[in-house]
Amino acid sequence: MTAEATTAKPRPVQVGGYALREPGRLERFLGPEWYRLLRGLVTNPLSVAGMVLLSGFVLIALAAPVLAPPISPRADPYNIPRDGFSPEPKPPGVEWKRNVPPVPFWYKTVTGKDHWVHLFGTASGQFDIYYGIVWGTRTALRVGILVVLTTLVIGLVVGSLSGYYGGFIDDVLQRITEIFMAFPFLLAALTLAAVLVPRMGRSIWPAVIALITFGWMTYARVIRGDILSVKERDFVMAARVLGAKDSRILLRHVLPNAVFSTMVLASLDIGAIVLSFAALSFLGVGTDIGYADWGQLIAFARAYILNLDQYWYIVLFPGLALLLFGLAWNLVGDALRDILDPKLRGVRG
Amino acid sequence: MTSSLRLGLFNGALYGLALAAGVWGGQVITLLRLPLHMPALLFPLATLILVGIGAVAGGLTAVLNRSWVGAPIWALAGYAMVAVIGHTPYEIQSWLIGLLDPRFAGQAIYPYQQAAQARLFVAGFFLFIVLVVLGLLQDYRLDGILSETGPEGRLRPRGWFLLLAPLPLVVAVGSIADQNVQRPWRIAPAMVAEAIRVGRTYPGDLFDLSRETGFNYNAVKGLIQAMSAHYVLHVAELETQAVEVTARFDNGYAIHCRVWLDPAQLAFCYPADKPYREGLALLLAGESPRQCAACFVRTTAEWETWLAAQGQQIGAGPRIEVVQQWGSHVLVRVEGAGTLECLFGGLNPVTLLRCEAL
Repeated sequence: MTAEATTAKPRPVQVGGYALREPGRLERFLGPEWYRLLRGLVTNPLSVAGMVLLSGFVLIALAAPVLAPPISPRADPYNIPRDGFSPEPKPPGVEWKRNVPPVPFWYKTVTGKDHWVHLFGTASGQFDIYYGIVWGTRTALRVGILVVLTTLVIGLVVGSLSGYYGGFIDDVLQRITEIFMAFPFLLAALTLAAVLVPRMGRSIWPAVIALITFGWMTYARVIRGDILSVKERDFVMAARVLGAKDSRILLRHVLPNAVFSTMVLASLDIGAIVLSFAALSFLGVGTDIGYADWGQLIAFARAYILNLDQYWYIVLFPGLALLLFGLAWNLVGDALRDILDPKLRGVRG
Repeated sequence: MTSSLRLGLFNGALYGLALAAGVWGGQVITLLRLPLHMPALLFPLATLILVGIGAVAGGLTAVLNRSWVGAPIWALAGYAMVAVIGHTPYEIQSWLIGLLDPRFAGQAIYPYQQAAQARLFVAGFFLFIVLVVLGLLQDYRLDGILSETGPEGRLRPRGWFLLLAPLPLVVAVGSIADQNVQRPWRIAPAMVAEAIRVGRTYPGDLFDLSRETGFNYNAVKGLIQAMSAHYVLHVAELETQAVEVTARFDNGYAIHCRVWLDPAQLAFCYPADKPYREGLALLLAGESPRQCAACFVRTTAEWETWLAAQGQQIGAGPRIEVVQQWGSHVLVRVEGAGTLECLFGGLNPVTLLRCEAL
């Protein structure tokens, strides 16, 4: 064999008159399914819009100390600084007089002012809304991702064991799942958080634990159903015949082929979880008063809910933040669903 | 020992080490920067315990060689690890102090707090989930890692990558425990050190500075003159919502500072040694310290009689000095014609625990 022959590129294989596409390096690294998923996400306009929004939130969260500097380096940055104690909110543009944070470098260029004003106004109790929204982005991302990842892991473990092993294990795990499903989600989370707050103190943790405790069952059910279908396929049988261990079959062959619908659910849930967390905060079982959290900012508007024509800013800005955050995750989740839906396979990307 | 068992032990020990790094790593870095009394006392022992528990769980899972067995084994290991993390700052630290300094042996230097139990629940919740999942995956992961060994049985780089891959997750879970369990031990001394640093050097009015910054530097305002440059901090007492910190200066002066935890704020500081010096001097003189609010010492009638008798033997104007402090337990030596050593405990009020003539 000559050197020329060994270095020549192989010709594309022809199947039924079509040339098979040569997979690129990224596709070989990720595998065909994950590559299709990634490609679909970056080519779908909806998911691109969602990811742009999400990137904006991530940037705000990362740049929070620059966008809204804490009043002192020693102060807890998650405590919203308050300009006095008056219950009546102040409109956007009013000068900030007490507990004034240091002026960041961008401030004068953007606003043309030397001193801080309340950019989005103040809520009842003179908590600065702009500061709360900026630092609340961190809280939203932290809570959303932490709760969804943890519930996803619990759901995957319970659903996988249940679906793969079947029999007694399936019976026990499914009855436990049904018991948890019998509780209405928000009401159960509210009750558990209310029980935990006096024991653990006010922080994000009681609400996070409550949301996790009552949030994993759907994932367990969905992954179980998918595993029941996938485990009967020929490639699983082939792996079993070759003597592969259960753990290898489950983690290498079954789970990667069954996990996609659960991932779609999870991506859609992040926005919903942040809304639920905001609902718990609104009802008063979340964080301490003054903690940077969008739900609590809306809760400050409770007493002024009938005068929103005058105090529109106390719900508009935190409400907009919540709306856009939920929308961003929903757009990404919808795009994921489109990509992974077998009926739409081949239509795009 | 089979290579599978060896790898199981090593993998479990790594989990323990990563957890210890997550739980205490940040704490050690912060505390070593502060002039704290024995800042890293606990961590080597506690790390060893976590590594040991991890190694046992990892080895057992490898021996039993069933993926589903990993879950209950690591669940038990997780429970033990959470217990160690939760009890280390309290009972284990008290026991270790007794071991290092037999004069304090048997004392509950840091009694276990119910509030710590609740904080531990948060830490344990996530740790438990992560360890159970890692336990389920161990069998599969170790098979993959074993296939990445070279002819001499050494791991290839990809094998090392697979082995170390879950450790950031364990460190992250450990850091949740750090935020919840260790935070009071860290922020309170840091706040007191900050107040002393600024209080001693700031040329302006500390009250105005406190108003501007939101940090209560004013707490040390009346005490600055008596402070010297070098000092040692002691975490004296932990309560549900507050921590008491003692700062002992090298000129013999000492202050107690109370730090609120939620929200974190330095509340106030006051001279620390009045009960040990003036209160004890009154007792030795046969007087009751009950009238002296700042130097009040709770004691029994038997000790009062005994001390009054000892006071007569020691003579007038004895030299009273603080010898050692662990937590709120303070050992005081009285020297005159004779020598006494008295152990005090607690802060509100200071209680005389025992005295002995040397």
